[in-house]
Amino acid sequence: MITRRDLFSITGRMAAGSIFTLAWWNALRGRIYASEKKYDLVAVKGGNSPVELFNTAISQMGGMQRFIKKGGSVLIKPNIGWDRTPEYGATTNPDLVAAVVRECYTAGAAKVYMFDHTCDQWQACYKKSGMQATAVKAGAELVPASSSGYFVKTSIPGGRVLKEAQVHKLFLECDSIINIPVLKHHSSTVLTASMKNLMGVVWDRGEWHRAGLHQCIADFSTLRRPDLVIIDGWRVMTRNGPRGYSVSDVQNMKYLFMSADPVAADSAAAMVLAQSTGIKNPTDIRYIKIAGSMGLGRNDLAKLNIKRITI
Amino acid sequence: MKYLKPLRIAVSLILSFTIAFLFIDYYRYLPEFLRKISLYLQFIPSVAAFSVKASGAAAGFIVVIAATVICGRLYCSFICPLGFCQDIFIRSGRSSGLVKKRGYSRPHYVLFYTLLAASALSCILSGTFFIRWLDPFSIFGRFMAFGISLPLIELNNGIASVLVKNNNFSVSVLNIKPSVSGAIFAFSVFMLIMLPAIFHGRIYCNTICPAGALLSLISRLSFFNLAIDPSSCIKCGKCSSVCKSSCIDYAAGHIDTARCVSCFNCVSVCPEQSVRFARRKIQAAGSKRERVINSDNTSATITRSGFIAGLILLPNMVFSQGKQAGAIYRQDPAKQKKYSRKSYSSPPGSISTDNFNSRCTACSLCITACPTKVLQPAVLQYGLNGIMQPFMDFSSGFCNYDCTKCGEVCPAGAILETGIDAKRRIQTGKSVFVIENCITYTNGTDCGACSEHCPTKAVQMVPFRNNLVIPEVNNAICTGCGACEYACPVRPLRAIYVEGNPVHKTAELPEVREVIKTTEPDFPF
Repeated sequence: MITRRDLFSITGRMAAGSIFTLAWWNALRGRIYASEKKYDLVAVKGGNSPVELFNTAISQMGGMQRFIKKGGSVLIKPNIGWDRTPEYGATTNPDLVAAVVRECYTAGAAKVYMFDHTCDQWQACYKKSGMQATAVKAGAELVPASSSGYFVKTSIPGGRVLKEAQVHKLFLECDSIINIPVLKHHSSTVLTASMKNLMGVVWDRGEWHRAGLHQCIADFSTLRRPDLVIIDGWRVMTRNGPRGYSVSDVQNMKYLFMSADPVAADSAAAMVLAQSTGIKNPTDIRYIKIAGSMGLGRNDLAKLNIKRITI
Repeated sequence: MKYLKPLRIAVSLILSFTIAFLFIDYYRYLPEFLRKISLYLQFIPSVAAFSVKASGAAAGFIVVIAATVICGRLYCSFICPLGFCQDIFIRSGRSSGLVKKRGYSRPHYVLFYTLLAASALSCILSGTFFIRWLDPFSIFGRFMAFGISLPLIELNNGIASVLVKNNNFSVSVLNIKPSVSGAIFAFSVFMLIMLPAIFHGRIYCNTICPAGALLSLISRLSFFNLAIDPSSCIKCGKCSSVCKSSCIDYAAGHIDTARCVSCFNCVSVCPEQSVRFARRKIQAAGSKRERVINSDNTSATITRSGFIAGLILLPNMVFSQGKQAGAIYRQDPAKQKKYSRKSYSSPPGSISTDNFNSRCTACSLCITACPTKVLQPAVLQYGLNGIMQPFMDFSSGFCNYDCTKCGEVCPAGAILETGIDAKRRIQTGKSVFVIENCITYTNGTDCGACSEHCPTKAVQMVPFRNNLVIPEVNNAICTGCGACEYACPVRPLRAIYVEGNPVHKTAELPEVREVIKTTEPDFPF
């Protein structure tokens, strides 16, 4: 026998349950969606432009909103280290960077910053790399990193050799970080991709050279893991890196790697770079191995869930 | 006639502010013709440039001489930036009531023309060593480059650091640390000219300045000059009291036009329009007075100021060179392999150190225009002969492979404009690798900072023990840009440094190898 009281009680509980479910529905749905699409790494090649590769990869990764905070600030860290035009492959493709900036705003970013602590004179680098025009076009603020005044002394608790660094304040303050390096040969670390690109976030990078480059690159990655790594492998400098001498050093390889795992991204990029250079053992690159052993990401590519797309 | 003074003020304002601004930011904001014309007309740099290559592009001084032949020393009031600065001080002295009246004073022609002769002679014999201390443009330049830049940079960085705290990046922090002693020195020399100006007007221009002295000789013959019309003059003395050169003897109705800097104050102030700018009349009377010798006083002042300048100059400059950017990696000095640089590099386009030392007037414009700040004023890097001239200081920067700015701005032709292709092949020095000091050798870790920065890959990383790589230098393609030395983190002595070429050479172009083709169709992982 159901009394009136029971009826009220059941209705009430059902209502409460529905409200509970409704309240969480969006979050739950997002989770289910993400787990369906979750790749450790998306690698795309071919196509007509790096922007096309990016668009393909980001949809496979489940959209930019997975990686940045709505209404938050985003730091995009391209490689702008050299006073060279994009054809030399010494700096990240400016069209790609513009596309990422726009995608961030579409996904609800309130403010997008970019900077690099350059090797050549900073204004020359910002200009010649095409990054200044890109920033203006896409609405990002390209800020300087040309003086110690922008950097904050920060301790790196996870570092084995590098215990402290002067880190750009935006790297510490921004809500999300997207690391967009360009894939290049490098005279002393064999290659430079995502983890090495974070050298442009610190002021006192001479210290890395002094204390052992490979270990320091891995150590710095313990400080803050970027929310997303996009490696530009469109034009790839295959020798004379990281500055390059002539455009003959560059190959149009048309690759793009996207991952939330910097170690996985760099490992995959190393395999590709090895195809066209004299790199004998791309799995033996020291800083990648160290980072893998320190648990900063996975370099066992065979065991990863990788989406490979040829356009 | 009254328009002459406002015209003078307008022209000098435009030219002097242009030049002052060139020392702050050469490349942005100002239209090119204004930059070019303001530098083109600077007398001593122009003479220097003409002596390198006689061409219309360096003939600004001929224009000035022609103007002087016609109208007298227009240069000193219309064009010279140091003259303009003195005018500001002279005016402030008058308007503040510090100086009531200035009358006629006797000239110091013996000293004036002796210094001119000495300057000319020393230029012929040993280049610019002597004249660079007297040239008004260079004195002004050093004041802007060192004396003014320090407070400006501090101000800029103060504002920027406040803004940066609020994530406002509109003003960028300048990573330049000008030496305080350099600023004090340049400021002192400047004030040694400005303070006497308050009380004695253009005394520097009529006693020391070699450009002033030469133009003074020429102006004695000018077609037009200032003269007092005795028929209408009421001898009120106003002209004499506003004369910056103290060259109007109103009682005698005479203007000493060799000292007149053509400021036209007298024309403006004369109530009867008796002071006129007109065709020169032969002056019989009064000319004898000009030859009265009275150099004792001034030469004493000069000796004194020279002594003070020397006192400040050397010790301060030496100290300022010592404190460079914070050391990164100190090795035990006892264990380091010792070496000493035989010669420092002069800027690309200066052909040779000797050529450069004899032609540069040390105006410091290139130092302020250099984007990478590799050009720094020398103390004794070139020896005594190159004091204050820019040398390539690889502890403060390195020469950008794609930059030709120092040659573009040099008004004296000491650094020639070569164009980018030629500049990339100028070898101002050669890298020397000192393996015993290299981190890879001493610590057994990878570094390679030198090779990273090398624009021609003259420094390459080659296999070394334990899977390490170590630099190797190919001097044939090295340009001596100093990127390797700048980047090397080892101190006190670096593991790679640039030995300057006393005579610049031509570097070979690096071999451009064929593009490697990839044909792998599939993902390699």
